[in-house]
Amino acid sequence: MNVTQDMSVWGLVMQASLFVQLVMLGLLLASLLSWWYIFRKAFVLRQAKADTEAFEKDFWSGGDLNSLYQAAAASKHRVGSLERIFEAGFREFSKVKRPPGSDLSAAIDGTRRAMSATYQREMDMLEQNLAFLASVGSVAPYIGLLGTVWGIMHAFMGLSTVAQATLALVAPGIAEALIATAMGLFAAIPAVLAYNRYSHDIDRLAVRFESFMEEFTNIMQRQG
Amino acid sequence: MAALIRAAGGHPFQRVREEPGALLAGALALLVHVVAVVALTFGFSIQTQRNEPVSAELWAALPPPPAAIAKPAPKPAPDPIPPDPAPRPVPRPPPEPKEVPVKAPPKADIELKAREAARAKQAEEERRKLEEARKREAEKSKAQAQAQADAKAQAQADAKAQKDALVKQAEADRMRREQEELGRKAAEAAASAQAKLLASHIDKIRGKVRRFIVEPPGVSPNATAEFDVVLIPGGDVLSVKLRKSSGNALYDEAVERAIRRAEPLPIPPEPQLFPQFRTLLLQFRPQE
Repeated sequence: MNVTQDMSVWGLVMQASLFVQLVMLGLLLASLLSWWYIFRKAFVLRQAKADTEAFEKDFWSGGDLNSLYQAAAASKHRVGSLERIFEAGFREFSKVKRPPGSDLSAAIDGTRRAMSATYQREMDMLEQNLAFLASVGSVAPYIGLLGTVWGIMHAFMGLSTVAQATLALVAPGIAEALIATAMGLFAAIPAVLAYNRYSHDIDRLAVRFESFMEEFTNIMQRQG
Repeated sequence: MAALIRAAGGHPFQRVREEPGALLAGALALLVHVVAVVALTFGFSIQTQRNEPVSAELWAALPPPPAAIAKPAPKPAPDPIPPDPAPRPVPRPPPEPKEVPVKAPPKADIELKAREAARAKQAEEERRKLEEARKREAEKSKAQAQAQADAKAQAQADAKAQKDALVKQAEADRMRREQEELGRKAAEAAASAQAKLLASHIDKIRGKVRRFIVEPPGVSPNATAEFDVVLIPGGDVLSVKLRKSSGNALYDEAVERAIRRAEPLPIPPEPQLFPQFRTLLLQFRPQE
């Protein structure tokens, strides 16, 4: 069979029809972007976990909360998510506390609100781009399949003009069309895996933040 | 009143967040894709290479020629053994042997050796005859008888030598002929393997072109269209010229279009074979 001569992957891609080539190009871009986000998220989440652990250690080691706050507000070192939450809460608490003898619950409520606002913001930062991974994971196989179906349609249309239909006539068309599906899966599988992994990691961080907020509120109440 | 409410000190969380390793992440993403593409092409290239041994098998027909040429080597071996020991001790017979070299002019190595052997044998025979004759001479002591015996012996020896030489020469001739035939056969085998290779490739080319022929209706099945096709390395068609029309202009055109569309034509990958494929004469016949 002389068909094997043009059977390199590059040759197949170049032979494909324009639509299939566009689909492949889109999938390649989606794959590149999703891998970029995968690596970025990996770094960001690793950093967030390390920062959280470091701050929890500082916080529970019994140091002065005021000096902790000063350090965070002055950004002397890298400020992690949990530290920002603490900073927002402490700032709000120290502002509200000023009129002495006022009732404490209002100050505590303000502190909680400030902390949960910062918490939302931090969660938003951590979850950034995860939606992209999710949609690549769910849509890329369909796009690849569309390219494949289109390519196979073309292969069979070309077949209709020929008197004798042989497998060798259709095979290259189908092979080049299937590359689109392969690319879709190549883009989708890592994206799905990464999405599941990262959303789990973020959930765990969120649980840590929330429990810290509760504990910090308790400390405020006791001090007040 | 509303103007008095202000967010003091700006938003505390608008400070720039440096994201760790965004560039590194981009580089890693690119790396992943490069690795994937390389793995894919590498995997596929292994498959395409697996097809090549098919063309390598054809070379199996070629090795015989050197073997056939090497075979003649044992030829000289049988000859030199018999002639050497005999000829030295017999310098005696003076008149007779002169006739032999005149009679058989040296045509080839083999003949010369055969003649030498023949001469040696003849000389030995002669000596024996001479001795016999001498005995007889001693018995009869008659000049006439001696002459008669001499003549007889000589005639016998001559005849024998001649016969020997003839046999030797015939054998040598036969060997040479056999050898030539072997050589010719080897050459023929090589030529036919080459021709077979050529024919199989031309069949492939015609097969590929035929797939692109859209036959017009009403072509007589015996119509044959011949084309002169000029190729460039890689199998692309430089020019197509109709050499002999099939009689049906539509069919001619369909074939010419098909040759153009069948680019690149499947020529053998070995560059040294390309010269034979530069210009091709392709014949097409409907309903093959």
